[in-house]
Amino acid sequence: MDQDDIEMEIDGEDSLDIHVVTPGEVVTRDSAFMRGHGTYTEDETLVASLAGVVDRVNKLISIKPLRTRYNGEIGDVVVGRITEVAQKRWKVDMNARQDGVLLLSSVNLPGGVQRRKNESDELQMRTFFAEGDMLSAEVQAFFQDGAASLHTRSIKYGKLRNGSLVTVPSALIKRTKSHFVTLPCGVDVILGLNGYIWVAKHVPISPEQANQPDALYHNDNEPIADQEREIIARVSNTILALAKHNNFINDTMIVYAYEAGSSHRVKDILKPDISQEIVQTARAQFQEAQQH
Amino acid sequence: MSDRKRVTGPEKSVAPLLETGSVPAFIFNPDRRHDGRDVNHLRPVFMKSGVVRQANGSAYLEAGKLKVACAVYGPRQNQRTKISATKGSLGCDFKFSPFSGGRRRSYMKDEQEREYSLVLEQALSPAVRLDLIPKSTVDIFVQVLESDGSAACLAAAITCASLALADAGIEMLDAVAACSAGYFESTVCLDPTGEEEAHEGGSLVLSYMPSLNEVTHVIQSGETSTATTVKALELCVDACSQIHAVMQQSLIANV
Repeated sequence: MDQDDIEMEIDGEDSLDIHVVTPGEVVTRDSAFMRGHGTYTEDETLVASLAGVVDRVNKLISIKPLRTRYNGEIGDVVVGRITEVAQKRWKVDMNARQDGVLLLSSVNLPGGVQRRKNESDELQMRTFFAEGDMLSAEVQAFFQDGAASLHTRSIKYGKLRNGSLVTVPSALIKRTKSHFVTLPCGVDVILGLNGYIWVAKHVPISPEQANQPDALYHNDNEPIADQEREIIARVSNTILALAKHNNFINDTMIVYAYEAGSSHRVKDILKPDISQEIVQTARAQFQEAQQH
Repeated sequence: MSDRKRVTGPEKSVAPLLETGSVPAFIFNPDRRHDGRDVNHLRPVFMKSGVVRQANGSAYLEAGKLKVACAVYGPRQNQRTKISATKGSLGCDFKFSPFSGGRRRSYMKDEQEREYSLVLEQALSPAVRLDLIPKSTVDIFVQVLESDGSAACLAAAITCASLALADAGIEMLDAVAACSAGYFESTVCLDPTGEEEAHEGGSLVLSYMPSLNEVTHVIQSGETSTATTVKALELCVDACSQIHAVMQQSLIANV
């Protein structure tokens, strides 16, 4: 493709053509554009440093790769796993370039007690979160080196129980108003923007229960009936099917795909032809809903 | 009773049939190479990215008998704290499969594999934007499934790793393409096979970023003259551009 074609595609406002570039490819020679993520400038020309799709917002050009590590933003809801208990902090695997950091000062104490954390809290850190525990959290800030600092200072966040983890490419998760959804089928889904999704049994928590000393950090699952387990597995497989076909994932899409696949057995959902059929039905339904 | 721990051979043994004297001695002829190529032609290359599911990025490369697979994991938090905190690092691991060709290789890394791991890191580091990933490492694992010429293997590994890096969504200045050449007195022969390599006087492996027109790594061995080297470099640069085009195609096909 020569230079004129590329520029034409960028300038064409209404063209829906997707412009794919590879590292080292010149995106534009027009110095009016600003460089965004995945690009760099070399002698007044804008060059791609990633393989992906060119994304232009007004004058800002960035490259969106399909598969990459999670790049956090402040306020994102993430799901992660504790990898290490360190001095006054936990290290959290969140599919990012570096482990996230959860400071002892940014978690709630059991029973919702409000006070400064002291040495005795530091010694019992492992009773709050131990290695391998799953948690949901919010990105609070970034350190100098780009590591994310997390917090769980809300009743919404904290240790995850009663469910299973589904991992998808982080680019597929759509930013929505709420990432904590309860599906009509009675399953809680936490859509972590880092591509980790927690699918769990819906357990309503009353305010009195939330103030129990061990409500926040206990490690025991509720009894989960076989039928509930099947629904959790069904939702998990539905999400995986959506991810397999590179379809974006949000609550409505999961519901549509869940309904489309309800006639199939759980283990069949991931079979190539069935998953394709499910995703296509869900997509069609979504587009129809958009038009109304 | 017979000794159970001893494997008794068959009662009658037959000596293996060895072909003797029928194999003609290899003679390098610049006008007619064994696979019918010209001296300045590469073997046809096939590349595919995204072949290893659990890796963050991966690629497979095939050129003639040569088969190389590469997987990239990361960027992830580096485990050793001593490494510079302002820049990321590349961890490269080059391995010939035990069955990759000729004499069976051991599972342990030998001297050549360790050297190639280092060359791989040196060739790719200038292209990867390590300043954007402080405190992180990117691990690159290259596995040679079938080898046909060690210099060609190294070149293929560099190309394949660079493709896998791009597939992993790691920021790079440009994709690195690499190419090997062998010296047969004053003749330069591109992309020598294992058979040809055994008879060459020297070799050159060039890693090159075609869009930026920059060389990231050159490694040369054997006896040569300045004129021959310059000729080899020019040939390699052209060949790298061809390889780069194939890389671009396979990347676009997968995005």
